[in-house]
Amino acid sequence: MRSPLALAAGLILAPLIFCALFGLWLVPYDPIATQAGMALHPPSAAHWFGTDQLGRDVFSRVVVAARLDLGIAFVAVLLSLALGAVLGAAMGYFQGWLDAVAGRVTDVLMAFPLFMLAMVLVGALGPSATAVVCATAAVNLPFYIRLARAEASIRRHLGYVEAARVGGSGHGRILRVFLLPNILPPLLVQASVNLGWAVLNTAGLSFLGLGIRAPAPEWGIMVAEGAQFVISGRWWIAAFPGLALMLAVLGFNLLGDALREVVDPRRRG
Amino acid sequence: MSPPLLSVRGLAVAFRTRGGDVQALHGMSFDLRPGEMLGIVGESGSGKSTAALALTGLLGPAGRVTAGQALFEGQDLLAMEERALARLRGAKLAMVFQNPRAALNPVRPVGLQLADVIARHHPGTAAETRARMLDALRRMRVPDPERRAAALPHELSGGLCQRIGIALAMAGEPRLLIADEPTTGLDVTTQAAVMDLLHDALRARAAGSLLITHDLALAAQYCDRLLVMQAGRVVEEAPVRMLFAAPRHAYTARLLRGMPAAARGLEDLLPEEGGLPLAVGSGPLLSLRGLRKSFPLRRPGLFRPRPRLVALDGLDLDIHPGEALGLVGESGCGKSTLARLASRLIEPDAGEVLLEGQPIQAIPPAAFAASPWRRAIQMVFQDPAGSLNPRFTAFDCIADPLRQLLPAEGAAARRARVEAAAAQAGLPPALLPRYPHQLSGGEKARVGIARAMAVEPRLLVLDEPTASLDAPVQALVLRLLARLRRQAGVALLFISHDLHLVRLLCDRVAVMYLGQVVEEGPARQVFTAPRHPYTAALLSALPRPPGAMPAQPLRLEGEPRSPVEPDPGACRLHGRCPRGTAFCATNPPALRPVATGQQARCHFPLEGSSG
Repeated sequence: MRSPLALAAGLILAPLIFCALFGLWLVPYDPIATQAGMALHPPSAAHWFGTDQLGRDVFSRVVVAARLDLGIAFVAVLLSLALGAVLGAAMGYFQGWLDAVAGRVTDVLMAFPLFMLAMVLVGALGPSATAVVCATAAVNLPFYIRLARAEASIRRHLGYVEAARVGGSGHGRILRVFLLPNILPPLLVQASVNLGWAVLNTAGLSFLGLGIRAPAPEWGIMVAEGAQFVISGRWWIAAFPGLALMLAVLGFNLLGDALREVVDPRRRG
Repeated sequence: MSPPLLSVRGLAVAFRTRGGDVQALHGMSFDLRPGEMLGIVGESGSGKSTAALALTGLLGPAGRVTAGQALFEGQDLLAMEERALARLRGAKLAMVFQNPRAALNPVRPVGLQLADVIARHHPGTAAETRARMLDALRRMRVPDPERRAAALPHELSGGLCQRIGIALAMAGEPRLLIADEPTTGLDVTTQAAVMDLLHDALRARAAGSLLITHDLALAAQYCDRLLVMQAGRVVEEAPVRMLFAAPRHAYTARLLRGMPAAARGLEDLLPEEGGLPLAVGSGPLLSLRGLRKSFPLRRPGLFRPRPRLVALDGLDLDIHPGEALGLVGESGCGKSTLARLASRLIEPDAGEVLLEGQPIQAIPPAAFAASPWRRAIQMVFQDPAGSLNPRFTAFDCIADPLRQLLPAEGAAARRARVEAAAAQAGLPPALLPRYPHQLSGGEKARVGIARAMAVEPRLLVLDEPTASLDAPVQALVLRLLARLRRQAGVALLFISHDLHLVRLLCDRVAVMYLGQVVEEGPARQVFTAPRHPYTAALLSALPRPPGAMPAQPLRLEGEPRSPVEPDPGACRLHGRCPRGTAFCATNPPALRPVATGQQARCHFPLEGSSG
């Protein structure tokens, strides 16, 4: 790795992604099984992160929760990236009525506070991982549309797009072969920064009791449950999932900055 | 001989990059005497601008002076403190930049910006400063200075902005002026007016100046001595006449050979045997009949009608099979709109485009892309870098139109066509797997030409294909186009603002002004005996190297009229034309024959013999 930013992002994200992929089979305890006799033990050699009010191993729960939190974020971001790129590129290339209508709709969506909008959507769709994915994707869609639209409308008058028309390509092929691959790099930067936000959004929704429900291991729920014990000195129940959440967001933001340096030639040293 | 005003010795500059330090200047030395204009010429990347930036202390964080000294009135510019240098800049040491609009503060009226500088050098009352400011604008021949002084930079044309840039530079009464490509973005008539002003202003104050330019002919016309640079080194230094008469360095000789202004005919640039094919006497290949195209502009107010910019205003033009037609005109005259209409990238508001007598507008755009007509007209774009998909290799760039237009062909036949087209365009097969960013400007231009030629078109529309290329590369592309014409019999519609290039390449030329053809005829005839005053003004504005035929001096007054809602009842040139009368204000002239094969849109055409 040439860039220290990319190195830092890699060091933070690699273990988290490893936990998300393989954590389920590697953890020492069942993350859901309760053990009343073991409740509220502080961190020890047997339970590295301690146990919670129902005697569940906090370490196992933090590791397994990575799967749900990162998974929801990845799928949601991928959805809004794909939809936003295609829709935005088409708006920027054709302009006209599609652009006018879709442009106003995105303006309206962006006028709402994002988190409130996500809460309303999850409330309407019902508590499930699918609902959280859809809500997160929908809330982010306008940003991808805007970015893709701006990039495409800069490029629609570039020589290679006009050359493709003189070369007999139709509009659909120009969008697919000439525009989309070329506007992808800035969209990927946006996506990597957005991943951190999506993780936080997922955890935030379940912290408020929307979206993912207990007893599923999820960082937001764990922080919510652990919060009531912080005052009595049992800090470990909320602190470790909170730390994991913080690292995930930090990692994705660093990754976004590192990608931006590669993509944006003006910031090259 | 007077002591030098500026004496530079062993100036060396290095830039820090990702791949380590790069030496941009290797020990540059020269002397500039008071009142002298020294031209620094060379291709892009030769280090000319780096020298200017180093002397003015504006190299930026990545650049660093590694050796040398520059004595200016006894002080070493390179060793001076930033603060002292800043005091010197804008006073004894002034600069004129390439992009005049970027050099001005975009949110402050230009008159106030000029007054700020004047007040710094001549403290006085507000009224005195304003009078001095208006006087400075008047000296730069800014028309209507009271009104222009209140304008913001974006409301003025590039030429006016550069006049204000020069007024700003001259306001401090500098002893030394450094002009870095001061007219590069300007039209040829504007360039001539701005350079005349700059030259006279400097002469009047006996100030020394460095003119940094890639245009050898321009430098030759205005400078006393020339410094030729190549790859960070001065390769030759001589008075203009001596340099042109007997260049000592091989690189200088190569630059001079590649200069279209100096070439008498294409043979000078094109030492290849075989004559050019003559246009056959059959019907025209492409006819443009009464084409009109306008573009809507932003509404000036909520309930005011949307003004329209008229790009083409009833344009007629014929292109015959195998001929090379040159289309010249200044920026905004509609030549690029015409190119895009002819290659059917846009649709006209009125009029028709006939391809071998068939109106192609009758075919809907989607069907046209799939029809055999699409192959007949191909286009080469202005910016070779921007016209290649960065994600395609050179091979894919050339093969892509073949895939669309000749889908029945197999991969082997396609590969053969791509290789043949590349060979025809002088592109070595080893470069085909490369991506555009791995190719030089000239190589990218060749890929663009090969892409257009691969489908065997009947007409090649070239929209300023060499505008971003250095002169020697330009000459190579020109030779290539002439060879394609001879070998493939393709007709060329060559659009350029560079009259020298058109003179060398084309048999016939059409001159455009504000959306209309104002003169049309055989190239040699139009260039030696122009009949329309606008053509004559264009020709006389061209910088001329020593030894070239002097043109009859003819400068147009003022700025071109706005192409927004032009007055249909007047000649477009009315008000700027020295031959114009009251008759021209109310009677628009029509295109009519003035000599064999030559037509002009003028009531009072120039005499043929006086040219």
